[in-house]
Parts: sequence; C-alpha cells; structure tokens
Amino acid sequence: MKLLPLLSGSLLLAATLPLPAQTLIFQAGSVELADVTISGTNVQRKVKRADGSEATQSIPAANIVRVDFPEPEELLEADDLILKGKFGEAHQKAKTVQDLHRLWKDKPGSWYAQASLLVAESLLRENKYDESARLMSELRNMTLPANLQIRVSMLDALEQFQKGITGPALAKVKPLARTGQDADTLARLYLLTGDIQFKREAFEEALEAYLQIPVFYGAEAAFLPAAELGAAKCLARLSRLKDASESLTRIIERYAGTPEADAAKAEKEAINKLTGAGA
Amino acid sequence: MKSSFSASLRTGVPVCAALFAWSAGVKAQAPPATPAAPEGGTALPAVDMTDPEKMGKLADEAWSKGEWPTAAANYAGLLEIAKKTGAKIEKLEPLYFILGAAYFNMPDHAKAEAIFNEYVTTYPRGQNVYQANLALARILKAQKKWADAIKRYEPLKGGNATFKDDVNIELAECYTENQQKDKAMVLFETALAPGIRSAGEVRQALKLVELYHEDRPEKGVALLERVKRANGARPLINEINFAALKLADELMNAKKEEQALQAYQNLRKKDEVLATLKEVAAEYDRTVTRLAALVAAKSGDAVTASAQMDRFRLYAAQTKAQIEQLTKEQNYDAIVFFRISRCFAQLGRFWESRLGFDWLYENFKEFEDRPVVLYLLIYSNAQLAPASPDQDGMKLIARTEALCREYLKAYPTGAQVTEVAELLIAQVQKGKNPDKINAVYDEVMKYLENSPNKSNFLAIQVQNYLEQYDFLKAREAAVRFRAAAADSPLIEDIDFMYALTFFFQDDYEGSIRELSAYRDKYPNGKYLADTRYRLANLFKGEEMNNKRKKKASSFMRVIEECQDIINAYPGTPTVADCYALIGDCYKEMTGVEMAERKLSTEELDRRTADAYAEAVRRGSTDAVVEYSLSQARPLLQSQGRWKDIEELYREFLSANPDHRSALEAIGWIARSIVRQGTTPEEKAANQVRAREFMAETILANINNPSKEGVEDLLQQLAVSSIPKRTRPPVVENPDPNAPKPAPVPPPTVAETFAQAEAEMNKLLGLDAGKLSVIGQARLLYVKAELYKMLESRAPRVRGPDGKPVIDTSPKQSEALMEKLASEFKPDDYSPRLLAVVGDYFVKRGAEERASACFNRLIQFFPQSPFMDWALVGLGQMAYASKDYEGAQKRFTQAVEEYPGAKYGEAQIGLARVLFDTDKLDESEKLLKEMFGDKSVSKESKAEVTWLLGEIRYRQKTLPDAFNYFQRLYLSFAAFPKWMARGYLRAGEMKEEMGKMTDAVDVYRDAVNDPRKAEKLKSEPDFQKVRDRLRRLGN
Repeated sequence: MKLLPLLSGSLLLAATLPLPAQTLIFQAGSVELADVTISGTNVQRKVKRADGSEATQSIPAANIVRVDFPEPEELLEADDLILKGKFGEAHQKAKTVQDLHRLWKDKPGSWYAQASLLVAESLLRENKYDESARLMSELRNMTLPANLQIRVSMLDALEQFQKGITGPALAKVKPLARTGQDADTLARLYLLTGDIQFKREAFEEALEAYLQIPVFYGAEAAFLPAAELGAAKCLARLSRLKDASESLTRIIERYAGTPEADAAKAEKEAINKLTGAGA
Repeated sequence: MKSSFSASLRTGVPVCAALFAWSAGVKAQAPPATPAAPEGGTALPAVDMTDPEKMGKLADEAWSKGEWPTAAANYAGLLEIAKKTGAKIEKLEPLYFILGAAYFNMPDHAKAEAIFNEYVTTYPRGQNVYQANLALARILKAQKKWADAIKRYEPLKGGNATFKDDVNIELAECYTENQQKDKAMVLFETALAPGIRSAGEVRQALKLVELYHEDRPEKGVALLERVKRANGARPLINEINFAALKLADELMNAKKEEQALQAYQNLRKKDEVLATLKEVAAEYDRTVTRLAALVAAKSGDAVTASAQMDRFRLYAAQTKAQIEQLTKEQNYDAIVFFRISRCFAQLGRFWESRLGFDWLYENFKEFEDRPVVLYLLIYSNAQLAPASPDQDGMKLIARTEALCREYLKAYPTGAQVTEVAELLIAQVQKGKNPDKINAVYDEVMKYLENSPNKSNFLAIQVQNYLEQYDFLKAREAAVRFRAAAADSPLIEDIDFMYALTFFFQDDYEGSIRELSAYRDKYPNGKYLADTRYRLANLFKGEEMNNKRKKKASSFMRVIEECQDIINAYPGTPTVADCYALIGDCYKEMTGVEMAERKLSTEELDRRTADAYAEAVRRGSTDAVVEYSLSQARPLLQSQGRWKDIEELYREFLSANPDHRSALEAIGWIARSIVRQGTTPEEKAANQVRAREFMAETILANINNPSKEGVEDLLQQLAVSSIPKRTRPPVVENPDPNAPKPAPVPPPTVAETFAQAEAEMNKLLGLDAGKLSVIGQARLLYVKAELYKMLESRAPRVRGPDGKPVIDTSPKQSEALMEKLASEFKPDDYSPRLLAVVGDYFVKRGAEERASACFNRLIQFFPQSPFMDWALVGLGQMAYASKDYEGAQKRFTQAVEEYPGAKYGEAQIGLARVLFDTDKLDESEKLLKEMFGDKSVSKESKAEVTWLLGEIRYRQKTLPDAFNYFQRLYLSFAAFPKWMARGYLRAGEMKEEMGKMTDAVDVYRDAVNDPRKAEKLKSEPDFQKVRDRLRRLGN
C-alpha cells in the first residue's frame, strides 16, 4: 500500500491555466471574443485611428491559431438534458455552441466537435436519422482526439441500437473500451453497452456493463443514476428480485426527483406486483 | 548602476514567482510544512565591491540561476554602495525588495525580515509592499509564530487577486496551528461561497476538505462533489484523487461506509490521471512558448508575461515530476479499487464488490494484497450465490467453488485459508450431492486444523454419510471424531449418530446395544426421546415378528412405551413420531390381543385414527405429517367423521400454508364442510360455507402471481358456484285428465354462467376492490374456462328435422379469452396465465405479444410448472421463422429441464428441427422413443409416423417411406389431416418408384370411397390427392 506516501509527496500546485476568458489567438496576438464581432468568415474589431476616428479591422478566421475557451456551460447542460431524456432542449443548447465554434472548428481549443457530438446524439435519440446523417458524416471525417473518435463510433453504434440492430451495435462498441481512457467517455460507453445488451436480453452482460460505472467511473456522477437503474433492472430480469428491490430503493432515495428515481419506483412496483409484496 | 537597477527591475517581478516557487514547493509537504530558516543565516560569498556594474550583472545571473547567496551578496553590496554614494532612497525600492527576496529564498529569514521590515517602513506605498508584507507573514509562519503570522496575514486577505488563494491557504494553516480551526473553515467557506471556478479555488477547496475530515466528513464529501465539477479541477486531478482517498479512508475507519463510497467515487484511474496531467503539461508548455514570444517582443506586457512565464515553467516542471512519479507506480489502480471494492462489500453491495475484486484479481498479478483480493472476491461471490444450484442461472456457486480451490492451491498457508475452506464446504453443500460433499470434506479438512469449527465439520461429515445411507463410512467418521475431539461438546451427537448407523442398517443387535448405551450414558440426553422412540420401534419389530410367526404379540407394550415417551417429552418432535407409531401398532394389533384388551373394532379404528390425527397435528417433518395424514383421512372418512377431517386439514393448512398438499387440503376441507350436513337445508348452507371458505383461501393468494395453483382453486370455486338444478315441486292436480304442465326448460348456458359469475364476484369481493389487476385477470380466465365447460355440456342444438346442427355462432368463452388477452398486460398475469395467453397469441399469429408473455414467464417464474409452455411456444415461433438454432435450444430445454404438459410438443418440435437440419438419425431416434411412449397422444403419434416417413424419403428408402405413410391412413383414420397426408405421400412414393398403377390404387382408395371422401373433403392434401388421380388418368 504505497499510495499515501506517493500522493502525500506530490505537490499541491498553484496551477492556474490562463483560461478564464474566451480568447481567439492569432499568430500576432490574441483578442477577446467580447471585443470582436463575426462577419461571414471574418473576425472584426473596431480600432481607433490616430485622428480619433473609428475603423473596422477585419481578420480572416482562418488565421486563428488556436482558441482558449472554458468548457461551455451549454455543453454540460446539454449532456444533462440528454440524460434526462430532454433531447429537443439538449439539441438547442449544444447547437448554440456548435454555431459559435463553427468558424474555428478545426483549431485547437475549439468546442465544435464536442458540441456536434451532442447535437448528433440528441437527433439520434429522437430517431431523426436524416438530420443526423450529414453531421455524422462530417464528424467521421474530422481529425479528432482519440476520446472524441470513440464518441463518434459510439454514436454510430447508438444509431444501430436505436434502429434495433443490436448485434452490429455491440460489435462496434466492444473494442472501444480497450482504447478509451477518460472516465467520461468510458462511462458513456459502458452505459450504451449496457443498454444494447439489455435490449438483446443478455442481462448478465448488461449487468456487468452497467456496474462498471459505479465501480470504476463513479467520478462521472451524472451517469450513476442511469447505470444503477440499468443494473437493478438486469437483476430483476435475472430473477434476483431481492437484490433488484434493494437497488431500486437506493436509487429512489439517493436520486430523488430524477427520471431514474421515477423509473425505479415503477420498476419496484412491478417487482412488488410480481412477488405479491404490494398486494 | 543604471544597468544593474534596470536588471533588477526586470527580475523584480520574478521574485514573486520565486517566492511562489518556494512556497508552493513546501507548503504541501507534510510534515513539516515549512523548513525553518537556519539559525544565524548562511554565510554570503565575498564580493568584489570595486565594480558595481559587474556586481549587478553577477547578481542578475545568480538570481536567474537560483544561486541565492551569490545574488544576495551582490545585491547587498550594491545597496551598500548605493547608500554610500547617496543614491536617492526612492530609487532603491526595487533593490531593497530583490535583496529581501534573495535572503528569503536562501533562506535567511532573519536578514530577509530585517530588509522587508525596512522596505515596508521606507516604502509604505511601494509597488512591492504587498509582496513584502506577504514575505514577512511567511517568515513568521515558517518560524511557527502563528499568532503573529495571523496578524500579518489578515490585512492581506483579498488584497491581491494573484495571491488571494495562497494567502487564504497559508492563513488557514496558521489558524489551524493556532487552534482556530473554525476560523480556517469560515475563511475558506466564505471565499468559496460564490463558487469554485479556478484552480486556486480548487486548491482552497481541497484544503477545506482536509479540515472537514475529522468533524464534518459529510461536508467534505459534498464539497468534493462541487470540486470535481469545477472548471479549474482538471490540473489538480492528482490532488483531488489524493484528497478523496484520504477523506474516504478516514470515513471508512469511522465506519461511515455510505459517505466513504461517495468520497471514493471521486477517484479516477491512473491512466486517466496520467493522460490529464500530460495534457495539462502540454498546455503549460504551450503557454510558456506563447509568453516567451511576448517577452521577446518587448511589448508593454513583457514584464507581466515574463513573470507568468516563470510561473508556468515551474508548473510544467512540477506536473512532469508528478507524471514521472505516477508512471512508476504499478499498483496505483489496485490500491484505489481495492478500497472502493472493499467499501462496496461493507455496504453489502456485493454485485459491485464482485466486479471490482474480479477486475483486480485478473489485472494485478503482482499486487501485494492479491490473496486478500482473492479472498474478498470469493466472499462477494459467496454472498451472491443462491441457496441452491436450481436458482443459480449465473453459476455463482460453481464460480465460488472454483475460486476457493484457486485460493487453497495458491495460498495454502494464507491468512484466510480457514474461511475459504469453510466457504468451499458451504458452496458444495448447496448442491446436496452427498458424494461431492463428502469429497470436499476430505479435500479441505487439512485446512481446518486451526478452525474453531473443526469438530463441527467432522460432525457434519458423520451426518452427511448418515444422510447418504453410507452407514459404514458414517461409523468410521464417528470413530475419527471420537479420536480427534473426544472432549468436544458434540460428542453426544456423535454417539447418537453412531448408534443410528446400526439402526438404519437394520442391525437389530447393534441397534439395541448402541441405543441402550446412549440411553445409559446420557440419562438427560437431548436425543433420549428419540432413542427411546427408536427402541420402541425395535420392540414393534419384535412384535411384528411374533405376529408373523403366529406367536402371542403385545403391541400394547409398544403403545404404552410411546405414551410414556409422549408424557416424558412433551413438545418434542418425537411426540408426533410416537403417535404415528401408536397408530401403526393399533393397526397391527391382532384379534387375540384386541380381545385381551377388550377392544372393539370400532374402538380400535377410532384410536388408530386419533393417533394418526394427533401425529399430523404434532408433526414437524413432511415425512411424518404426510404419512399420518394419508393414514388418518381414510379412517376418519370411513367413520363418517367429517367434522374431524375438516379440523385436521384446517390445522394442517394453517401450519403448512405452502405445502405441496395445500391444494388437496383445501379441497378436503370444502368437501368435508359439505358432507357435514344431514338435511337439504343444512347441506345447502354448508355448500355456501364451503364456497366462502374457498373464496377466503383464494383471496389470501390471488393477488400474488408467484402463488401457483390459485387458478385450480378458482376453478373448484367456479364449479361449486354453478347453481344446482332443483326439481319443480310436484303439484297434485285433482283432475287426472288435465294436461301435464309443460316441462320447465333448463336454464341456458348464459343464465347458468350469469348466476355462477355473480356468486364468484360476490365471494371474491370483485366490486369491493379486493382484487388487484392480477386477481382480476385470474378471475376472468377462470370465467372463460367455466363458460367453455358450460358450452361443452349444453345439449346439442337440433334442427327442425331433429338432426344436430353445427353451432357456428361465436362462443362467449372465446370472447372472454379475447378480453383476457387484450385488456391486460403481461405484468398482470400469473405464470399460468402467461402460458395460456402466450399460447392464445401464438395461435392467432400475434408472435410479438406471445413472446412478451413467454419471456416474462421465463425471466420471472423459472420455478413455475408452466415453464415448458413458454419454451415450447418460443421454440415453435423460432421454428416457424426458420431460426433452427433458437428453436432447438428452446425445445431441448423444455425436454430436458422442464418436462411437463408440453413434453410431447417439445419432443416433436425438437424432432422437426433435427429433421430440417438434416440430423436424421437423431430425429429418428427421438421419434421412435416417442412412438413407444404411452403418454404421447394418438394425434402426436400420427405426426411422429409422418415424420418417420419423411426421414425415410429423404434417405431415399422409398418403400419404407411408403410403409409409414400407409400406416398414417390405416392407423390414424380419426385424424383427417394426417389421413389425407398419408394418402398423398403414399401415392407420391409409389409414383416416384414408377409404380403408377399402385399409386392410382392408393389415390382411388381415398377418393372413390364415399365415406372417406366425405371425411377428407376439407383437407388441402385431399385436394392434391384428387389432382394426382385426375392427372394419372382417372
């Protein structure tokens, strides 16, 4: 057990990344987004001439080297809305960010891809395949970091899952777990895997997938209610009714007010009906 | 001079970074938090005071290299020269500051303190006064002068955006050391109240988490939740892991597992931490590059950029150091997830702990706590393993057994070896396989040497052999026990079991000897009642022997011994055994003994029945209760003691509500209630009472779908609710010639049903809301069945010509079934209804709905006797959609694991699949087994015959095929479908053999015989027979 010495020896850095503002960085310097306007494919800002008059300076957005934006709140909200099944609202939130970052979508620091993934997911979950197809094609052709590439493949699998093609969907998600590293991506991946296996009525495999989240990716708290609910439903279908019932009680108490808690109530009533407990 | 000062100005800002570097570098190191300055300071190197310009250059170079004594010596020299040369004091402000900073960094706190004090006095509005005061505060803190440090720090709070986080953290540390922990908490709570948005605020929050550890861990857990969502959390991922781990460990130690789990769930895997740190380091590098460009451009921001650049260089270096340290750590995840899994286990969340420990076991072969991991994995599995392999679809028992054996093999001297051996025994015992149980005892006994349960296990081994009827081995095991644990409190049990080995082996002499020995050794022994009972049994055996040999017998002596045992040991299970033995003795009593005892036959029968009835009442094992019940009831019945039968069964039912004979008991109670009446009025009243009793029993179970057999009871109730037809009173007509009144027509099916339905609804409180949807569905199903029965009993409708007319009107029973299928969901059905309704959907082609019913039945009621319905239904649907693999799986399961009412259908389904997949030999073997099975229906045998013919046809043995098809129309004429197919396929065989005349004869036999033609006319195969005959020229 060497962890404590290791960590106690680590430094509590005063690390502050310079990211509080929304900054567009050019070769020659940087500007704050608040100080400029976007016109077509150009970034424009007003400058004062020597004689005091104002002029508009226009710089092609293509000249941006990178952008520094904190993670947009809208993306966090969109994520949350998707988990709550509010796909329309999620779409709107994510689209705002997608539109803002479209001009510098391929520059380092851009949130375009992340926003597009959420836009695509909200469309797919509403079975709007025609609308999502173009965006998915664009995402597949973008140069993305590994974790976002995994997300694109997950959306492909999601589309198949939504269409009821569970075998190929499963084949698509299975290898992704080996390549993923960050808890956010892996929690999403295991939740999707659980859903696919559940639909295939492979409840034991679904249970294992769902349980990965509380055990290994508990830091991604947003996924816990859905994962725990999925696991409880699997237990019920594996005839582990007592275990299922206990898990559902925990979900009802711990995640009160969430759609998962409501679903857990309904599931628990079904189990009670089954065992005659509620009779 | 100018250049020196300008150099100092340039490096003036990095001083802050250097201070930071020092402060950041030590403040988290624990303990001590801060190294104390050496007493008397460090000697400074000698300086050449003749060349100030060179001194300035040397000072700047030393500063940039971190050679603080050289820098301090040269800056001190410059200051001395400046003072001597009368330089204006206001010009010396930067030099004062950098000199203080150099002393501080050495560290020579005494000199630093003196210089900074001079600075703040001389330059109260100097541009570095805030940092000078901060340095003074830090010196006091390093000197552990907490109260003084607090006084210095407090005015600095919120005074500078750059330093606000550090000031708060350092001030809080001083508060804590000064026994003002609450003030430290308030300081952080106030600072973080608006939100946690930056890395500095995350640092503050982590410090606050530390403060919460002891007294308010709940707040610590909640704060961590906020921290991990903060935008500035990413660079501090490692520190968050550390804080979460520390907090969680303390919560675990305090037995607050729920909160500990929440804290643990902040932890991230090593790969993720490393990847994040690498990204952060890369971002720092990029930032440094960007800032370097700004510095090089010498723009207006160059000074600030230079300061920031140094700072980020430091961050990058420290992050890389963390990466290096973390990369070396092989068991980081193992340590983290060991704790999380253990926490889940302590919370009783064994599904999660099982997954965690399994992952650890599979992925960390070199982990130092691997034996503990394996033990906890075994423990988690054992907790989840059900009581019986029948309920163990996930094979957890087998998995636990395998893991136990892995442990015993890998760690035979491990700390948990005894527990593992005991767990292995527990799992093997679940299988109730005596061979395996005995083998496992032999396998693990060596690990139980130090177990406090060793004598228990040795005793269980004796018992196992005894239960296995391996009496010799049981005796040997008992001898072993006596040798190993003679002073064990279990020795009495062993002595008794030892005696039983003789008893069960029918060793009369041995039994008498050993049982008597036990009786004498343990005059107050816990098995004394049982011992005496068994001896009484042996005495009965003696009397039976006498009876057989026509010698004088005395069963009464056995009865009297039993009575004595009953009196001596009231309330023991032996009492019931003794009553049953009394019953047996009365039953065997000879006429001679009866005469001696002056017992009439009636009295003997009464006493026999009473003894058995008493045995039922007192019995605690199925064996004695069922035996005595089966003996008592016919006797009571023959004695007309219906009231006693009712009471006996009521008592039985009350004591054994879930007994397999419970339904039978209910039936007997109802029957005996009815039979107790003597007058018609009493009988009618008793019928009502019987129905009420049944309704009451049904209501206790009807809403629970897991209670099987409710439908049977409901059907009994339905039948008894059918109103009895009463003859109209015979009215004496004074006029013998008056026409006889027309006979009262019998009530219609609808009328009879309506009355029965009303009675059932009333009894079951349908309108009073006593039935849940499950109960309502059950009632509706039984009504449909009742209607079907009434329809089948109704007299056949005849036409005007007196001939029966085929009734094609829609059947009400079918309408009720449709209602059952359409108005309820699968959730509302009991297992039987899931089977019946699923079947109903299959017949109507509603496969999806059928699947929903069958799958629910399989998933939630695997113990149901209707499992085969679901498997056969799903198999048939899979077969219809040509999913032969799926069909074979379902049919095989139905045949092998759930043989029941659908056994024949399952077999034939399987045979069809085998046939269609060209496994002709297997198919034929199965079909021939069916042919020889008397339980297979005649119609199924017709299909079996057809399939055997088709097998032969596919094997190209056409004459054999013909013989089977011929047998179809010769032996199965009762089934027009198979008869028609027999003619068709038999004729086709002849055609294929080129025997056209024979073929025509076969076809003619079917077509030209008017009776056969009439019978077959609606069969599609018969139309084909006609076509063939027409084509062949007839």
